[in-house]
Amino acid sequence: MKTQGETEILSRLTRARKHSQPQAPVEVALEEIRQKFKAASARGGLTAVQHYPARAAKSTPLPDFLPPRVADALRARGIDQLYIHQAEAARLAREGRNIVVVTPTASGKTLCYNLPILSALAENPETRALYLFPTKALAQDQLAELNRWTEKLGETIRTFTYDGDTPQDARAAIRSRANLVITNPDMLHAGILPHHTKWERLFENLRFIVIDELHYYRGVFGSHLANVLRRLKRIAAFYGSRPQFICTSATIANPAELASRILEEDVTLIDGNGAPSGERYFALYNPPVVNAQLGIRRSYLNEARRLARTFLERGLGTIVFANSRLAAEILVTYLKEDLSQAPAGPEVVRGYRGGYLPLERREIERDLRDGRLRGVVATNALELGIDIGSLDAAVLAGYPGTIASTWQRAGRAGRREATSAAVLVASSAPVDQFMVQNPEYFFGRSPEHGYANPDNLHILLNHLKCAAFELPLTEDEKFGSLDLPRLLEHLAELGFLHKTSDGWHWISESYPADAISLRSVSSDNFVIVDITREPKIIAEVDFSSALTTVHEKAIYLQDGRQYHVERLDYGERKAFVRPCDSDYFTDAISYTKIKVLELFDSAPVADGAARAAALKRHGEVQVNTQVVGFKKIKFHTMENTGSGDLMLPEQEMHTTAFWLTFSQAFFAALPYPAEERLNGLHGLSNALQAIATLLLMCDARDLGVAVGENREISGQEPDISSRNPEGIQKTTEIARRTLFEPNIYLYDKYPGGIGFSEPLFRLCESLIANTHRLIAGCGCPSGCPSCVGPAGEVGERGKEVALEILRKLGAAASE
Amino acid sequence: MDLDQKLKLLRASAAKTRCDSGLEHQLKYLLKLQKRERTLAGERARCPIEQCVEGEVSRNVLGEFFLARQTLPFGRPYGSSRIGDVAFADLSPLNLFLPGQTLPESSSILYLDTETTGLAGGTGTCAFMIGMGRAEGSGFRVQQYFLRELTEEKAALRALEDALASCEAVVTFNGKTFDLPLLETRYRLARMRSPFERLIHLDLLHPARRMWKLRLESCELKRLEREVLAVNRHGDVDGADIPRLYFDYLRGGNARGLEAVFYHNALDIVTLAALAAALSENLRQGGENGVADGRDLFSLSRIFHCAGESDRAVAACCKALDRGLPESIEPRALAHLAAQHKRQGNYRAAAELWRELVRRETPDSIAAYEQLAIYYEHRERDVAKAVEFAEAALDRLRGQPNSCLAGRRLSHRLNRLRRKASFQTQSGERQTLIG
Repeated sequence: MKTQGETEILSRLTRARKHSQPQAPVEVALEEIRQKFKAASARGGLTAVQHYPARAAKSTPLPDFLPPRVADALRARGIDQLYIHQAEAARLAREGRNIVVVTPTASGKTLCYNLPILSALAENPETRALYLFPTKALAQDQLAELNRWTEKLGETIRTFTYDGDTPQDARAAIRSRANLVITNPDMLHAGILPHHTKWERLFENLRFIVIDELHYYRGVFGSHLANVLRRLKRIAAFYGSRPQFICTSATIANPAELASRILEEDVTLIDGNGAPSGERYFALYNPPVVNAQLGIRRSYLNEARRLARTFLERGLGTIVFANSRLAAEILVTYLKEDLSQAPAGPEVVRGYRGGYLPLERREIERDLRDGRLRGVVATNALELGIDIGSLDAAVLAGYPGTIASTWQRAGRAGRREATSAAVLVASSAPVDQFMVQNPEYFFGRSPEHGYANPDNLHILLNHLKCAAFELPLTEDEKFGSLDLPRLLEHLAELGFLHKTSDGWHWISESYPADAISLRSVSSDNFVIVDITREPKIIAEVDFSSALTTVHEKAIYLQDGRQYHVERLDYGERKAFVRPCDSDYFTDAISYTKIKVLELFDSAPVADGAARAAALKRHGEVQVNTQVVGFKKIKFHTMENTGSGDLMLPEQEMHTTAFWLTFSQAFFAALPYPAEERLNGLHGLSNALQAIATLLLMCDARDLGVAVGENREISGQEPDISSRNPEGIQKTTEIARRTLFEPNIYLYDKYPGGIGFSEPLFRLCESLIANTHRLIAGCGCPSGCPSCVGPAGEVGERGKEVALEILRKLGAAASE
Repeated sequence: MDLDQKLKLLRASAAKTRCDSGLEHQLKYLLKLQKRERTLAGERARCPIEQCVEGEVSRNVLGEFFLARQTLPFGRPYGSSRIGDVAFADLSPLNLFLPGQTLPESSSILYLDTETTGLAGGTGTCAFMIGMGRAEGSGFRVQQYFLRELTEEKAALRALEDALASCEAVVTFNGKTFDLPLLETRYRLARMRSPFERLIHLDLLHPARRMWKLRLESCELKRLEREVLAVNRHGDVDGADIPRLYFDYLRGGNARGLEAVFYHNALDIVTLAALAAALSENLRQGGENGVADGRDLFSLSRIFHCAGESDRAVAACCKALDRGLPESIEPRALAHLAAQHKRQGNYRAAAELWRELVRRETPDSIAAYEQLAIYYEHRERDVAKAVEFAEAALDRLRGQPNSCLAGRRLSHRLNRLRRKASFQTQSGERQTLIG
């Protein structure tokens, strides 16, 4: 079966041959790839090729309202016209609106914020602006860009980065003199706001706040950023300014919604891209199946290597993206090997990742721009913004996790004047397989939503502490939508605040921002100590994953090395390890109990006949988890070679959840024995989780999954879900009862919830339909890690039952 | 669920899983507070500050605050000196720590020390007590502005502004990094202008370290007070407990715990003045009298050296060596003295010291070897000897880590010396031929 995309390229490539039109080099390479893998198993090879013809620019003359000096500077840099989205941004920003610009990579996005700001500066040299970038590397890149403008404008616009790398002796000058301060949210949170009196000049004249890569701020990070901005606005108001926001974002389904959630302001969306682009191809590639029984495919890394080699051998500038530092290093080694016989030699390929020294990185970036380097293997360190010129081909080894970053990575290849290509090589992870087998999902309108929950109680309380530290809080202030006086009272009861006639003052010796990390789920970490010689800290893991990865006798993996955990000091938050060489890894057995505390909403999943089958719901839940043991699993064969018991403290968390309740009649009517029905539910829950992470642009770590019983009907046992044999047995007993009504929960793995449950409730139908696609489209006979999980875990018929449940819910019909 | 329930759950689950150190900390505090309230129930009755500390309510246009005042008569002894000597000490020698500035006469100097709600800095730390001392009339007057409630801050800041109006300089201990930036922040938060800009500021922390750190490992105020001023405090409060005592007062209104804080702050201020006087006296005498310890004399010599007073630096260093120095310090003193001699053109005396250092073969002697190489090349014009010393220096450098730069410099010198030596030999031979 050929997809539409493939037909298109075939005809095009054939036509080109027939009319002996000269083919572009990347077309030749793509054709070669297609030919080479044509003979491969039915489910491998190129599953789709999308062709994007060249696009002409949509431009407009420089607007009249630009100050003459700025217009001259534009012309001096060879810009006589603006793309329509740039002009639109300049116009709306001038009107004082908050904007979010959504356009692809290399569309001249930075001008959308630099133009309004440089114009404002030309009109008033005291103007100040704050630029927020998620990484330091991007900040450096922007500094260089702004300095180029300063040169052309012929006047001093004092631009500085202010982050952890800024030398202490330069800080005072930056604080009082800089017009444009380029920093990151973490520095704003812990270094700038708590010292705002030193930034008096900045806050008094603060007119713009630029937030680049807004889609980056979703989930926990976004919820934190929203609160940092609440604090920032209070401080700005104290100094009499009210800044305006200019944001940019990669393409997601709800950029304006995410922006207004985080900014808590009205936001105007600009998404009419006016930038030109060259002709390009985007292909999806699935490594061929080598073991149909186990659903094992050829290694995606090896396949990525072969594709990259095909491009490199034709002298095409190629970037390869890997999803981990280790994978990047492996690929560089492979490609250097491949090219050692080639005329250009292995030196034309290099690696690029976090951990390389800044100077080394700058050198690689420059060599890529100059064409001295033909290939680079990078991690996400090169995904965002950094200027490396344009390349011919991009090979993505593994799905980057979101469609938005897939496009950002693919966008690193692309030339105005020549044809370029990007190929995504799927790994065997469920989400990867879903993508390559459902190309329309990938190439269609973005299905990805960014969410944040700034009123998460946990996060909000933490930032209220910081806010009080910065300026006493008063009850009539606006800070989130919860009952502020009650929250302040709570913090006072805990000894952090003190109420006076003019507000709530911070009275604690601590510096609250230090204890709050914007990026990690919890500030509570375990450190991993290698005790082979002098005790040496080799890593940190956050609390929630510590219990499953560094429990006693666990094999902890780091950078490809194995460590045996000798002792876990729970109180001191330390795991003591020694390097080892083991032929197995460990998998923790945990046990999860969920209790519904409050139901927010409930509705039938499907219409018509299936209406009574299942309910979708969301609300607040209490989740209790405990790690009770572990399994030893042999590498490669995945045999279970032993197990052990563990007694770790039970964890309790209150959070929000989305869940499906299947009616007793529906569940009982499934034509399978109770145990298989239950296996089907477990398999289904695994697949639902994979699709949910895709819709929510989150990580599997952010979303817990559990199967349990709906208590409304039985009124007995608490909900239970477990992966250990005992628990399954217990649940099976419950499932045999005639009154059993099962629930599948997807819960936010963050105390208080991060805002995933309500969207999942809304997107439920899409969740179910796509889960059906994932499972139905997977070629394995009875479950594999790419769909419902391996048969060893969900039973021989787990996949079948899961599909049957989805079919009965009308998933197939709604496609 | 309403917010109250949620907050309760948050606390309960934090207690249960203890997975959040922040909340855990909060909780511990809460428990401690409950316990204390129980044990102190009998004393819980409100005891206002006026009943514990002598003082009065002071008012100005921005409100009121509590003002404690005491005057220490000049005749009163303070450790090894008297208040009067302290109050009217000639501080002009301290000018060498204030390049380009001159301290005013003692009645225009204000000694300043604050007690704060923490050491974290930033906008959330407040000075709840501003203590100041000044020589006035017949005594040294200590005034303490105390905030009975955080809202009294503006009035206190205003009063400080007024007090500073008649001063020309402030003296602090660590004020450069702590007290003054903190007060400046408070002025800004209160939307008032900071009064410190026009004032001379002498922070005694660094001068005190330079003067006494060789002898005393730690130069915190309390230690200096004991070792330098021979003052022994009784019933003082630990600085780390001060914020908590104030928070307890704010929450319960009981001021009893604060008596000790007033005492602590007042003593800090007197000590500050006494320390300035002692340091000044040391500098004035330049080691002629008074200073007994060799290490202090050596410190003095280094201070003089930095201030460009070579003669006094030499005199103090000689005295220090006379008085005797610990083995770990003596070579440094010898090298220091040699450098002074060299600067003054006293090369022979310097060479004598370098030879002494070389004899001792300490790790520091490498520099002495190098100096001797220079000396023999340029002063004695004995290239062969210079080569010998340069070679010896390089030899000793080999076993040492991080010696790259010095090594390169030395090899460079050695090469040059060898060239020069061979040139001299050749030209010597040529002369013989012609002759």
